[in-house]
Amino acid sequence: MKQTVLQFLFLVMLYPVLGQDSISSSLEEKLNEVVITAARKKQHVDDVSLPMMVLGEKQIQLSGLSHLNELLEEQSGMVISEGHGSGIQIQGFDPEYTMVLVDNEPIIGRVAGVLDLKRISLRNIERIEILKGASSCLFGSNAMAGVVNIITRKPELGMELGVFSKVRLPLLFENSLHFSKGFGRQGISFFYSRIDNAGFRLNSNQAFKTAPSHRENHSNLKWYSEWGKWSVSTTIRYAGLASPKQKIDNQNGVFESESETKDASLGIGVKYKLNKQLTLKANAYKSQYNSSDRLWTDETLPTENTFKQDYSKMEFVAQYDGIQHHQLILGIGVNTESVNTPRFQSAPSFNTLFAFVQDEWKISKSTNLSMGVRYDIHNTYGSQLSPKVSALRKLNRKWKIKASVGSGFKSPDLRQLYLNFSNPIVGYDVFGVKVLQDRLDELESQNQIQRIVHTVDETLEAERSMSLNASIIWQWHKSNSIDINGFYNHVNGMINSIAVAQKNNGQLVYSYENLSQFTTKGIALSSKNQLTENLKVNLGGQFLITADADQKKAVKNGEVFVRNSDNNETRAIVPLEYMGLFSRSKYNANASIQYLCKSIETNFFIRYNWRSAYALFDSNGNSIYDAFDERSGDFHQFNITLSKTIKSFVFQASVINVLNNTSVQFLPNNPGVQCAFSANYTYKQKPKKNQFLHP
Amino acid sequence: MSASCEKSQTAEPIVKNDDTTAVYTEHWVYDLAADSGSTGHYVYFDLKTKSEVTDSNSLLWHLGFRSTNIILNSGASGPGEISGQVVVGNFKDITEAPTNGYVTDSENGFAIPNGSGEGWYNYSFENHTILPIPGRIVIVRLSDSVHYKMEIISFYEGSPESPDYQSDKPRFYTFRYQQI
Repeated sequence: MKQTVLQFLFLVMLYPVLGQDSISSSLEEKLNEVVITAARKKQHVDDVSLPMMVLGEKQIQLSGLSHLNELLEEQSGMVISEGHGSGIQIQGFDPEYTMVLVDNEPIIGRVAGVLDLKRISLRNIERIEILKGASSCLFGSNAMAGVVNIITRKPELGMELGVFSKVRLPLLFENSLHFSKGFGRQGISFFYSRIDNAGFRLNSNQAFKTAPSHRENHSNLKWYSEWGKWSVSTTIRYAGLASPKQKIDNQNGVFESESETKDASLGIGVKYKLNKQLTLKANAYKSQYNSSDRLWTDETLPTENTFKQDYSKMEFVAQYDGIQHHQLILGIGVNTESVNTPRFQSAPSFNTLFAFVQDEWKISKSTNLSMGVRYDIHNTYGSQLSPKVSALRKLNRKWKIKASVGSGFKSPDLRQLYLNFSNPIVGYDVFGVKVLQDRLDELESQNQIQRIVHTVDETLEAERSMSLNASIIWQWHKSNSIDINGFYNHVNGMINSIAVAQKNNGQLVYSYENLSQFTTKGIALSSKNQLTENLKVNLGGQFLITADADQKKAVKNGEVFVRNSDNNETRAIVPLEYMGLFSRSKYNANASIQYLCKSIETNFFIRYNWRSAYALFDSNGNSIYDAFDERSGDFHQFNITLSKTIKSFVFQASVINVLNNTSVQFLPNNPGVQCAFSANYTYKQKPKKNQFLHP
Repeated sequence: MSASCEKSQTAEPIVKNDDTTAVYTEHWVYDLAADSGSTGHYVYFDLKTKSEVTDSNSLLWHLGFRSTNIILNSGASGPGEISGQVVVGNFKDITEAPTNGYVTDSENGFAIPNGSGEGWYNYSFENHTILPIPGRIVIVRLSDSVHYKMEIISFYEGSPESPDYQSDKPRFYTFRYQQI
């Protein structure tokens, strides 16, 4: 830690010396610099008044990685949290609080609230926009910690054909094909990728693989067309993952299992540009997620579990630029979500009506003010009002400050309402609040209930949050900047599981309740530095403090104890020994060096990522995360990728996880050191005339 | 799988209210099998003789164990009149029994609450283990003048420091108790 800080300080001091005028943009990414997530319309990234990060196509490709979880882990302030998939932790929030979008529309199929980022391939991506802080004012439920918006490649003028092949050890084959053609004011693009992953085994003594073998298919079809003032874009996306029958370890033992998930969506956007001031848009989106798995606990028939989720959305958006210095966005819409699974007693569905308005006000040349509010009317939870205000001020050519305050909410998910789950082996039950009473009555009539330990309401409230962000940005040279962001989030009414009854078998019946409140606060730092023409060094880090309000209070009141097994003494823990929420690292840091070696025309991209120790769960019985719980230890990861361009080919060689970190418990999806080779061939035909296409 | 109760430790003298110095032994019980075979039967325990009792319908036993349930010989659980409660503190520092707050087992629940977080243990969804809550001391009242304090150390065979739900055997109580 100390060493890292020193190295960092050393580099910071070096900047003014190294930052000579000879800096060219040879390493610099030709980023369009236009983003759409912060205001639901195109704006220059420098004008965004919220904490935002953009990962461009070149950086994504140079990393030599295959899936989104691997890429996000390398970014400043981003942590991958394992459990029900590999989810993203932003500003100390669990994965269920970050909205993940593909081309502005949500990806569905979360497991226990977690969207598994391993489902998302890194091919065919134009850029990834990451917005931090509560963003419910534009995106509604779940956008409490932030938004990750994956913008896929659009059809371009001319013709492009790309073929990509990759082989990795532990064995993974990835093959993809990309085709794009633009003619006149039409464009079409197609992408297909197949990944065959043999899985891996971290413990050679075990009969099962730590990560099972599977096959992935990803495809994306886009069509864009313009007629006069009209334009239409259509996107069809499909992703499928299948694991053949094999031995797996679930919490009840080692059994044979096979599983499959399918995720498909269709989006159609129609735009009508009435005049210079007014643009009208209509977006329709439909998505379906199916998952099924079969588990053989004995020689007989397998137990099958299926999950089907449907999501559809229709919205109308007007963009009005008619008032001087103001850009107005107004939207109304409706979305419907339904789930069908044997784990739910019924096939519930939700409807939400929403309206939002946002004004980007350019008060002066140096000051932008953004104000937005969204109103959601939910058929089960009543309504939510989510306002947000943010401002940006350019103090001079080098200094810039940003501040934002906003609110976020998260509706209870369908599981918390309708889950009807009984663990067949251990014997406990979990029931959503809507089905709880029925199921308790049923168990009571079967004489299975010993006593009721807690009574919960039949309704759950949405969780609500307040989020503050403030940043200072020092752009001391054209491609050299330091961005320091302080954040504070407070969440009320967090929904937790709670024991409601005890059964005669000694096991408990659980349900859900709006139980607790928590805060996350910290400082995130990111620094981009083009040191010489051929050398780029980026640094980032995050310091994070989290706390559950009730736990913090109990510790303060001396109500939480630890026991020393050496002398059998028990004592109350002191506030300093309270570590906050589980799975949170107090520190994480990352660094990357990009070096273009001109003599051999090879790009070296070396990344380092550090995550400080954290605990996954309580190991000493007091149910909170204290300084005496078992922790992971620090993780340091080095990834190296070499890229060489020869005519239309790009060849890559990577060593990922050079230090060969492995941990069944903490890094269940990391196979240890990985070596990969890939080749990418692109055939490009330039457009004949100067034409325009505005996807 | 019976209790092995050989070891005893002599505790420091405890000063009682009436200023007479009484020395009570701190007893340790290791790996008391509390229905480890999941047959649905309790194991009944006599605090005075530190031994198991087979006759559930007698006054010989004070405590019964089955899985995470701890019953007292009273009310719905047995013919006796044993009452108890759970208090918070350091085992050694509890030198006096509380004067009130005692309850007996009844149809509505046990004197020593069974729910996770409510009585003597926490169940973790994340690692599926039962861990005794540090600082939770069970006070057992045998009569107006005879009280015992009890601390549960482990629910797993061999009292592993951090039990694993897959490899460690549950329903084996290790606890210490002492008259106060």
